[in-house]
Amino acid sequence: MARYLSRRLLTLIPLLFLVAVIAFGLVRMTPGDPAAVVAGPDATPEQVARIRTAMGLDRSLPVQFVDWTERVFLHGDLGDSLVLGQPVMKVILQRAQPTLLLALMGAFFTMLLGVPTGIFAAVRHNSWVDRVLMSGAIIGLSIPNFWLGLLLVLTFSIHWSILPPSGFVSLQEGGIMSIKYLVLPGLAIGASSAAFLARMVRSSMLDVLRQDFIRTAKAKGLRGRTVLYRHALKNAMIPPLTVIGMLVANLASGTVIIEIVFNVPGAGRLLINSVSRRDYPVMQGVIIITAFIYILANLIVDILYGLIDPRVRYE
Amino acid sequence: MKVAINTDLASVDMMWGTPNINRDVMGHVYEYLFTMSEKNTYIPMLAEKDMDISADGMTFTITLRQGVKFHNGADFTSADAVASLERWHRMTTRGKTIAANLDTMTAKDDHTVEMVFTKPNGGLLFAIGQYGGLAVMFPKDVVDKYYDTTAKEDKEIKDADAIGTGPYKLKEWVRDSSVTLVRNDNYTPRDEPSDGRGGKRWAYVDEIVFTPVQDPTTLLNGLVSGEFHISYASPPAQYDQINSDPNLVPVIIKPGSKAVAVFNKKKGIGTDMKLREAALAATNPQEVMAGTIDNDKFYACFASLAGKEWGDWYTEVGSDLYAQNNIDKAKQLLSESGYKGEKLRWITTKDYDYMYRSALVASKEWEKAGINVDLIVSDWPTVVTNRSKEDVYDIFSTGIGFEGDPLGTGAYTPSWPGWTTSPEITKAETALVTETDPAKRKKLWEDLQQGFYDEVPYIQFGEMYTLRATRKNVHNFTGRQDLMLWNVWLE
Repeated sequence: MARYLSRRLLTLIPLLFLVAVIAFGLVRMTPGDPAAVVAGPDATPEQVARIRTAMGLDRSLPVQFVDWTERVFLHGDLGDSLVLGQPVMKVILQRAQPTLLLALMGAFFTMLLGVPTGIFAAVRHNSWVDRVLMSGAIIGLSIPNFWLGLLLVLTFSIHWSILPPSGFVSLQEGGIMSIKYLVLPGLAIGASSAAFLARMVRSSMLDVLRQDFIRTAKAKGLRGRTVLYRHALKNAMIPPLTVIGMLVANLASGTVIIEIVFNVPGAGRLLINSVSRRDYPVMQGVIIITAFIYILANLIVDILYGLIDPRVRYE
Repeated sequence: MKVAINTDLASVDMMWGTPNINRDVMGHVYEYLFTMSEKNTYIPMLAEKDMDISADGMTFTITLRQGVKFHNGADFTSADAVASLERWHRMTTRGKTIAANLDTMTAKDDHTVEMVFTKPNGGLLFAIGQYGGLAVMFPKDVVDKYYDTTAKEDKEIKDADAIGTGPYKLKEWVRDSSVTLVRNDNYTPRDEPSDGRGGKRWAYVDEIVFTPVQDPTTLLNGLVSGEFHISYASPPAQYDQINSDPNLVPVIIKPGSKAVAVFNKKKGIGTDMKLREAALAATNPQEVMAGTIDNDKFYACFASLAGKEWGDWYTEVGSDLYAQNNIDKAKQLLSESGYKGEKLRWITTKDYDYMYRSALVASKEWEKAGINVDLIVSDWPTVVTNRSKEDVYDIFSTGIGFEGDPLGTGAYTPSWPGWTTSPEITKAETALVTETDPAKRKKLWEDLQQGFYDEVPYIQFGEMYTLRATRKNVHNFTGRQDLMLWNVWLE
């Protein structure tokens, strides 16, 4: 096991190096000049050149590459943002909180809406309640999240004025009040996955309700609620649980558009902004960090397999 | 007071880059020696009174106001003014071109600065007083701190040293999230009543927070719900909605910048003057602008390179060549040219909606005359890079504003992308630098505009106006192009 782990960890290095080469290459192949963006539309060529020199972009590409990889791999330093004038690591960490909170809020609404709807629809299987709920789920799945976001703003912020239409206040600054900024965007990204989850829970629940042990439980005189929540739900949640894991990962990537619609200064918006202003170090940093998380997650999953399934052996 | 802006600042250092948002935010922190009045003339701001100009037009003496303090408590003296103007001279376009003939600049005493030129200088007051000239006053020690004496280069001033004399101080800039200014309690306003950007400046609100909001619908929702007090810029398509909301006030900002298409006059088919004239003849500006801007309150079509708001600079010279809308003449001109049906490569972007839409409509008109247009659409940074490469395009879209003086726009100079080398234009441009007599300068400007229509360095479609909006409880908000939030209060 220890040998396997150390071997896997060692392969991380060439893998990340490869990612670094690709990230640097792809990012630098895009046309456009960050100095020109900072200098503005009326700038003269000399002004742009001055800013380019200050950014260190006047050096040759190989020199910049060696300099950058050295910093990343030997010092764990992702460099400084060209436009924001701050270390890339700091920039990314600053934006991680809004994105994470948004994803969590989305996950919260996914479960809050998805699980009870699924159970209710299953219990009232084939009744009008079931049909209404499942039609709602289909609508929830089909509505684009940014449009739903706008509808929510129209209703809750403009019509009723009970929730803010956009913005973000960090937990440190706003404490519990920062939640109120997350409700609408969280609902907007959570809705479609809630709809998906509701359909999963319903079908899984229906399967379980037809099983023999449920009939046995009912036959021995247990109360309906006990049968439903203690016996049926527990068994029915196994397939949806694996899906929830996937959905949460999707939520994190789905925040990009929602961050723009609700003006949340998160990681998704950072990436989009960095591309449009050609902030190379930030683009590279985000790619490297994302790749690192993916590789690490794969490793953890591989290890977990062994723990769950004893047939898997590490050689 | 909360203000929604469209993009974040690029820098707190006003001389570092030229995006308008930099100066519209930091213009509350930094002040100029002279500034613009309501009628866009130049009046003293940190200077005590008008400049003393010697009879030969070569020596300028500026007397500074006494008792002005920087945000760090230090007195503003002539040493600061000289250091700031030297930095301006080294770093900015206008500093370089207009002060090109500068001989000496000295602090005569604590509150007097003298500038001596080797030739008469006609544009100095404009250059240091106009908002876009960026000749703002820094403390001398900040200028020195950010000057690399070995490389002889100025570096970007960081947030902590963003110290000016203005009615507001920079409190905090959280990148991509907000810029917060707070009232400068030690500010001593001028005694004269407020006049344009000049006169008495009074900071009514304690704190101004600028929040970048990318999506215009999100911005409007924020304004409607009261999350923001002011929208820095909204799309004209939202005008009717804003106008019909009882809590909001739309403000149309004039003058604006012009939607234009600039020919590459260094290489390729754009070097053929007959082709450029043909394109001009085929253009119907009314139609182009109607297809570009959704609401006709937000554009105007006229020949003058300066709008009517600029007073004497407005001129109708060359009007007969603007808006010809004459396809037959265009065809005739094309047959006289060396054009053989090659693709005219037009680089444009959808990042600025007006650039793409004006290019689309105009190219359809030109195709009727027989010009083959190849519209190449990419994002704005790519256009900016490519427009400096003479091999990759024949024409590009951009916006050009008149900046208060003919010398304010780099677009007529040979070094700007598109490379305008017309003898007629360059001659007038050069003479404007040294001419000090206003009447003669006006005549030179007319010559320049005539040259513009004779040689067609670029095609001007029309002027576009910006829509700003405030909530009803915002008072004394002016329709000036440059954002001014002192003298504004909330109810």
